[in-house]
Amino acid sequence: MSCAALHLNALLPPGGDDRGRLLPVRALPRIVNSVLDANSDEELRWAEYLLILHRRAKASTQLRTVEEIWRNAHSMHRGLRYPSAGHDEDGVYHLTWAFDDLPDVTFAIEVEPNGLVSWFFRDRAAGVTAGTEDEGVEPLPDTAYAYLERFAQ
Amino acid sequence: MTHPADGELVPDTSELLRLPRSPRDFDPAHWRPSYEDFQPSSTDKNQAVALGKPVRVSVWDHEFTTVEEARSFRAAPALVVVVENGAIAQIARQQQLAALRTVYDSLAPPDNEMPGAAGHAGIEGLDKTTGLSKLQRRELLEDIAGRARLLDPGDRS
Repeated sequence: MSCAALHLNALLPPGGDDRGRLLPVRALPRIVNSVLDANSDEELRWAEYLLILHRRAKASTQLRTVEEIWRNAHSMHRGLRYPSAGHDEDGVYHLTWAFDDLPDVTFAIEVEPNGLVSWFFRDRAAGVTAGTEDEGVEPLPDTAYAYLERFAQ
Repeated sequence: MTHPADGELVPDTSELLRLPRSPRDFDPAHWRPSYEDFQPSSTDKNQAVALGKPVRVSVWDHEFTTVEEARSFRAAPALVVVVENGAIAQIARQQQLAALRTVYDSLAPPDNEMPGAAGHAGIEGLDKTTGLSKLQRRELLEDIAGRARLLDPGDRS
């Protein structure tokens, strides 16, 4: 079995009545292509993760928001590095760009279960801090997306 | 070795182990700890209210608790983030944050009987009660995370 075919198993629903049936591929050609075109293990893992996210986003305002943010960020900054991603114990979804080779710079987005977004940027070396002060916003403002340029390769 | 009392200050020389409660679903290559790894959770806040203590972000003093012992308090495999308590004390001094400090935090039964329980501690001064705005709190948490490092997954000592 080829590497791409092996990882396309991520398309299979997790269980229940849908077990063993592939999701409609026409609904997500871009993500499927990214799995097929993956050049590295990390790229493949991220593409797989997006597939899982896409499947779950159908029933979740929060995850639809996360998908939209990634789509926008990726189209604005080609070569954007992949963030740490996942829920915290309060159900808030975090996308965080923080890397060993950029020790002073962090960018993070938090998406509440209701889809409200807050963001945070910190450049310790430059003494710059920016982000959402109080209530969440929707959608993520362009000023926030602009900070992601620091993480494009 | 004498077990420290609840609320006693952790020495600046101690190395702290932090086990963030929610593992990430996706970890990119070369990621490092960030503010979210030190953010007080609802559980931390609820425990504080229930026990009448300040909100404490759970850590372990490596003098009293091994990595293996700290991990045994988690049901699922846990990441371990390491930060020197001296770095936190230095941030508290530089930013004149009297509330920012690390104190020992006694566990309730039956956890207090487990090996390594004596090293349980908590970082105070990271929640809303400090009077800092949300952005200032994140900045503070990020400053602490910036001094932290991810422990090698194979390290069991």
